[in-house]
Amino acid sequence: MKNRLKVLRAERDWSQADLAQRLDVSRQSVNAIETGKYDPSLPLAFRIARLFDMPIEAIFQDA
Amino acid sequence: MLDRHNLRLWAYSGVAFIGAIPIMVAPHYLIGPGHPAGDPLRIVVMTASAVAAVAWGFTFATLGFRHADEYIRERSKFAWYWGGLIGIAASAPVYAFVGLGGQHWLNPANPMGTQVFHAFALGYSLPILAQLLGFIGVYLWWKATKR
Repeated sequence: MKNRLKVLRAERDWSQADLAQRLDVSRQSVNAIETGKYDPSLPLAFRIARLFDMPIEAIFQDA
Repeated sequence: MLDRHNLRLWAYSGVAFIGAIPIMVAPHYLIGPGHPAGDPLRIVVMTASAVAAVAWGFTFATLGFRHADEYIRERSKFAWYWGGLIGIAASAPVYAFVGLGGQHWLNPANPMGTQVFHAFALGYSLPILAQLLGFIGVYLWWKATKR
């Protein structure tokens, strides 16, 4: 699954650690999601969408 | 650098493992050496301490798992599932080799015979059987609670 997490994070000038702290996950989680090596659960995807104030499908797309 | 999610996991795992060792070992020193093999007191005390050590370890391992984030949990589940399967599969040739007297073949000083084979087979089978029963139990529990 592709996602725009890295771009959205960069737009806000957040580090991976900043984003991880805001989502209450490990920095490794953020890195794995950004690189497409790990697909987040639905609850985490909703948390990400809420944080960026965007619909889930605007952040995550089917590969 | 480890963040707090990983730190908590390692901390709980460390407490689980390091705390379980004295619980397991202390009774051996408390009741003292010199008890003959098969002494009922020693068997009961050591078995009870093993139960306590497992309970301790399980409690902190569960806390560590619950406090981990989903990525770390997924990694742990993946590693336990595939690592466990690969480990068991890799042990099969070792079982055949040792069970058939491979150690005696390599070094004739090592004992061989039916009794040795039975003891080895029992020791090998117990954790595998326990793991299989644990798997079936959790499988059925999951199926019953998720439908």
